[in-house]
Amino acid sequence: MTTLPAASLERVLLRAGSIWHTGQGGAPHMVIYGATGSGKGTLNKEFMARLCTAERVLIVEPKRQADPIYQGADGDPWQWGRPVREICPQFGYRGEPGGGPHGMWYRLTGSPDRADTARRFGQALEIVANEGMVCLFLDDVKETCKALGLAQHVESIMSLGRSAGICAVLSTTETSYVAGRSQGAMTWVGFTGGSIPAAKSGAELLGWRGRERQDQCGTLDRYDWIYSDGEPGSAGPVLTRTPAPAVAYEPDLARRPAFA
Amino acid sequence: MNAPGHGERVCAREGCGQTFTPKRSDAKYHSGACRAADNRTHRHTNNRPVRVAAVTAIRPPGPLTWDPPSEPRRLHLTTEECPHCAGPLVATPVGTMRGCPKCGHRVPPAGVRDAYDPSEVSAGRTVRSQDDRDDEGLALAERASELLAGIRHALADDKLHHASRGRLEWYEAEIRTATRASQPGRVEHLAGKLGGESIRRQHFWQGQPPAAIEAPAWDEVPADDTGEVCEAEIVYEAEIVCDGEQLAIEAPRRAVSDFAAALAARDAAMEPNQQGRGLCHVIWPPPPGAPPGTPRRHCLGQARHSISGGAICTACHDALQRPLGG
Repeated sequence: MTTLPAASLERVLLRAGSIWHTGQGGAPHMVIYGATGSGKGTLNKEFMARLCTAERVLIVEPKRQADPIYQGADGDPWQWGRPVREICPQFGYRGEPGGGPHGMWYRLTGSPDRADTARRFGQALEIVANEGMVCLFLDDVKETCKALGLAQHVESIMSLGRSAGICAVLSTTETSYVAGRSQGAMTWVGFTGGSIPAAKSGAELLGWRGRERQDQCGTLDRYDWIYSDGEPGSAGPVLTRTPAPAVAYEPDLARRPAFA
Repeated sequence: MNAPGHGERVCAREGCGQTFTPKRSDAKYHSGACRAADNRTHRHTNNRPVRVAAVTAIRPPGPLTWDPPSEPRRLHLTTEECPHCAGPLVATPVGTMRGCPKCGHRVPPAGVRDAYDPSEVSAGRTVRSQDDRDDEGLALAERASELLAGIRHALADDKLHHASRGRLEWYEAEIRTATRASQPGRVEHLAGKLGGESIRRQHFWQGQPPAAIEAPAWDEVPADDTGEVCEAEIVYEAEIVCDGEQLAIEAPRRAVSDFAAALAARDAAMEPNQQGRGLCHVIWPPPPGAPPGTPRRHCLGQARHSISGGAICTACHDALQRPLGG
């Protein structure tokens, strides 16, 4: 029988934050794997609130309709990024200000017109690849890679992004067709919906083999996560849990910009 | 003979109820028929013992701990300078933003700025805007149309030799393909080859070539002829090359492509301008009539064009393309 140590989300994010950076020895990419409703969006918001308050952030959200998970609180609709159809070169420094605590968070939204969505997303990923220096959240990355045909863009960013200063977070419900999933230095596996193949894929992402490990992935509840990283000093996989309600960044931090 | 100690028993088959005196200690039925009948009712039995699933909690030897080294990242100094006060910039924990603690400005990181800095054109790492792409596409279309017009002019000649016609048609197709594929290098290469092409004309005695294979008469049709219509092979007369009758297509050439030679001819030089990023690299000699000892001066225009050796402004670009004394 195998057991996993448990740790609070704060403790795990402290670990993730210490190795998730663009500098020397950093591990820039994360992969979040879980079924629909597993809490991937909530986990993304935890990253944003705790690790990215002062960073330039682009969320790529390929859904046809606006995702309510990123809807801000009353009075602050851009709390989780300003929804935009396109981004301009040097976004955040030029053009319209974004959302978030320092006006540097943008949310690129999809639309029912998939050809238009693919064109816009392709341009945005091109800008990101050219400029670098951004925390890139790719929500439902399989949709971006397969349905929108942007697998090469994603693959390129994942492969070359480290030197360009791109920290990517890939969220996906499936591992197939997801470009660059093997580049994730940090892996989060969550609720897989009771499907055995999905649990097996989750175990494989964590580098596990065997039925017992697969069962361990298959029995996770919603908002439960197995976190693992392969960076020096890693203490191995750990079980953690995100709070179900959405978190908010510190209000006093939001009012106090770091730079004018 | 009855076994000692085995009293009368009741047959174990349900509904039988007969009593019997067993001969063995484990006998349950009074007859073989009852045993067989009772066994038939137990269709899904096996002889394996029934296993009882039990979950046992294993207590780990000590409390489970998960405590890898995790120093939180904070704002840290970088080697980049603030363009406003030249102070050192600090980077955010993940490192995607820069700010100046001295003057409080938010500054794009070097990587973000350099992607659009014209002075980085020479390094080939500058992002090309849609305008740049449009300009290049229009220049290519213009160049290709000049070449195609020249080819069409030559092809309009009725007396053009068939070999030359074929070559020109090949050039035409290749130039069109290269233009569609946005390959200016390929178009220039073809223009260079086309410039050295010699075009021959036919003489009056060549006329229309006769068919080498004469159609057979109606009564000479071979027995194995199936009646299928084939394209007859046509052999033209032997070529007659007349040196005095050669045509040549003059491929239009660009004004100046060797900027190094143009700079040398004007006693100018190229060097990155230390007075600011994005400035023209050309250093011009003093103008004619200037007093002796007048220093050479750096052009202060914004670099817009990339040439071998650096980036130059539009005024210098035009000046270098003008012929000397023009």
